Amino acid sequence: MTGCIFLGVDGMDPVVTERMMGEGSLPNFERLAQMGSYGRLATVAPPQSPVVWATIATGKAPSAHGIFDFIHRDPATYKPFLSLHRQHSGKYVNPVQGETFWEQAARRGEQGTLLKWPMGFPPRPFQEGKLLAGLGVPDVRGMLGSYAWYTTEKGTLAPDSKGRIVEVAPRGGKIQTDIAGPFTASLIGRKAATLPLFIEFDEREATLKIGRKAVTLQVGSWSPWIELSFDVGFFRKVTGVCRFLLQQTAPEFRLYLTPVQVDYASAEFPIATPAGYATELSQAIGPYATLGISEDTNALNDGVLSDSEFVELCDAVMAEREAMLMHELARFRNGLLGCVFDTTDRIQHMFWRLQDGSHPMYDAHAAESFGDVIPRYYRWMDRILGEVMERAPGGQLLVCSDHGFTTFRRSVHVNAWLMEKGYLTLKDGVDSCSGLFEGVDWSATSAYAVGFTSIYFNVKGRESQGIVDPADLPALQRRLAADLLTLSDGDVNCVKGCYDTGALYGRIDAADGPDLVIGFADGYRTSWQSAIGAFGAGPVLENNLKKWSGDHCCDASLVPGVIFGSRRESVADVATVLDVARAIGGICQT
Amino acid sequence: MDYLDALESKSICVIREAYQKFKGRTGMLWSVGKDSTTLLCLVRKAFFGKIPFPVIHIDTGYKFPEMYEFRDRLAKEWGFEVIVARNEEQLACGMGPDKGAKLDCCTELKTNALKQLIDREGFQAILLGIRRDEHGIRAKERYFSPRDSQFQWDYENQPAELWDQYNSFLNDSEHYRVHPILHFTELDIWRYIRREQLPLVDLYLSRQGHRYRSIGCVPCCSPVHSPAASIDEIIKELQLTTESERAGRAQDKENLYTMQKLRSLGYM
Ligand SMILES: [Zn+2]
Repeated sequence: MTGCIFLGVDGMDPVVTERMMGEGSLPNFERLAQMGSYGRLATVAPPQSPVVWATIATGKAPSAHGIFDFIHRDPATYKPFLSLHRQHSGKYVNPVQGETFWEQAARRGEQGTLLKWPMGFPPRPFQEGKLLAGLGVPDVRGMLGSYAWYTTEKGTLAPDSKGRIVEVAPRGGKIQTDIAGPFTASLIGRKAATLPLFIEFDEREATLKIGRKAVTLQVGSWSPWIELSFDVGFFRKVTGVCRFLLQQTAPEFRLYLTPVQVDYASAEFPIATPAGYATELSQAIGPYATLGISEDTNALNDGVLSDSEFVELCDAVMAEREAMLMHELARFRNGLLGCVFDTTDRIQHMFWRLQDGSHPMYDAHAAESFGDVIPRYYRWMDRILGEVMERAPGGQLLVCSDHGFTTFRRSVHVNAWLMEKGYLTLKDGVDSCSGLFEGVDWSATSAYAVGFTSIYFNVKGRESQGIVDPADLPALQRRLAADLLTLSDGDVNCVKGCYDTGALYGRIDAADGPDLVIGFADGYRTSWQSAIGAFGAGPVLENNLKKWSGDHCCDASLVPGVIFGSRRESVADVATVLDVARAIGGICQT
Repeated sequence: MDYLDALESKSICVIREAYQKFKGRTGMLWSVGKDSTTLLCLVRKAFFGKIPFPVIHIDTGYKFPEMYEFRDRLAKEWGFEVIVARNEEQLACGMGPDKGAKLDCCTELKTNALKQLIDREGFQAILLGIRRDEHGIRAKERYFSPRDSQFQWDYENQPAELWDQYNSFLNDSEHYRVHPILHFTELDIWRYIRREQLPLVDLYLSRQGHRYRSIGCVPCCSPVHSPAASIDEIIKELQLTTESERAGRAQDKENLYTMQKLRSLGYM
């Protein structure tokens, strides 16, 4: 066997990795490091997964591939939008610009297979290649993941829960409710198509009936993947797959439903190229999660899933990914095989609190049970690596992560700070904004923050109501960057660096690019609210009281990734994530 | 396909599906107003000029005289049978809008009249000419809505409009309301009426600066200021008012959707 095998491990952190290698708990990574090489891999600013994976794929800076943040803004309306997928006249289009390493390899006649590639949705076809999209694939509702929870409990959840909370009223052990499916843009506006769900339960189990399908679940157990078909009007259907978790039936009834995920052969949501590839995989390994972020972090945070239920879900996703890779590995002879594991990222986001005693969400009791979850995922990756090394002895291996990880203890309301400093102004009589920058007085606003690390100036000729003369931009950039460096939390600086994107990336072609990139200090991150243009007068800093407790949207220098290569010379000149695509190209050619 | 053709074929599809399932146990309500008259026309189209099931008119005894006259004329012209349902008991003891609350009156005279008739005739599916843009609560209606034996709408627990999916839920104590023109807006109805040249009670047209936007019992209806004395003028009027209103609402909805999408990224 020849060829190149690339494993991407989202969020694999050098500090954790080195510690665990030192303890001897990652024997295969250690072997790979000794046989070939290991190093810390500098990442790009900002170190956000969509940005970095696009860089790894294209070998280009954000200014060239066009992904600058999880969230961008439309200069015409100032409205923030998700960068993970874009829609043009109702159709999804891949947002990443530039040729990827597998497209280049295909041009040279090297066959490639890419599994769960982030920012690969919808996939662009490439010669004789196969790609299954990962991060960025929406659920059938077009969301990044909206779960449903059927419960008899009333009002116990935060009003801002991310899922659909359905309060059910059983009559004689029977519940009739429904499953919300895709939104249909009908003649009378947007509405959700639904399917009836009929439930019969006792203390031990419940039977769920959806149309002619029936599945019986014991309390505490997950259903297999269930296929659903929604009528979206005008004789069209959208199919999806989902799983249920019967949490309990007494004294309260609780049933969790995963986001309804795009079906393998969906025409509305093409998740693979060639189109039949996703189905082929499901036939080979069984049904699997298709959602980009299929580890339901929202449900854990909302208190709908417990720590252990969330881990069960993550375990299933990780096992599916492993099965996919082993399936492809079994028939891999030459060319290129790539697979990205991102459950490692979600697990670290949600459980960092249990390995940081100073985190406001640290919980000694939970740490006893779940303190080992993060190391367990590193060991799981190690086992997968060992399996790959054994099954593909002739192939050249390259393993890397997009960024490392650190703690997230304090939230920064950047837009509230901009308001405090006079850069951002609300209209008369408005004292807060609940999102999308509604209520901002653009005629008196010179700068605004969007997403997790981006600051834009309100530039004449670019923004629809711009007031900043382009000639004044450089001076203003310097002033705001200097101001931001003084933002402090007691005697700790919250910001490590603030970068002018011109200096950071060189020329910016995309009008979407921010003017400044914030590099937060360790432990600080933009608040969830500020990211989508929600803010008000009030404290700029707040404790992070969410289970989402680890992050990497800080200064890039604080969260380098890792790189392992089976042949030292192949990765000798890989210093940053910008070099990975070229290194893979080099391996494929030898 | 033309826009009105698309609306029409969706309706016809729902009508045929309902009839195929319930055959002789199907009926339709006809209030004589513009919406249910449009529905009547669609039923005729669905079955090539015939109306294969009974047409029910609930008579509260308080309708406009023009409506009774129009009802009898159209039934004769199009050749269909009208079953008139009256809550004789209540009418006899003097129930009417001037006695008691308006809602009680409507419940007693309409709902109970219908309930009695359904019990007597054994209907399992009733076609209704309601539109989704009519009232707040109707926004939650589906093409096929079950009601329980208490005649209560169960808005939260409604199944979707996919027959095969809930065949098993159907039992004798329930009947289904079928809404074939749910997707029409008020403006669509007028455009369709104009295209099909449907006959209509002329209360809809302006007389001395007033016209009715909907008609029913005399005491429950009040006319609106409007100079629109022809169908063309009504359409023009609605285009100016409703469409600008709807455009505003559509914008709000889009923003809500954008927020929902953004929020699905994390805890915002
Ligand atoms: Zn992450």
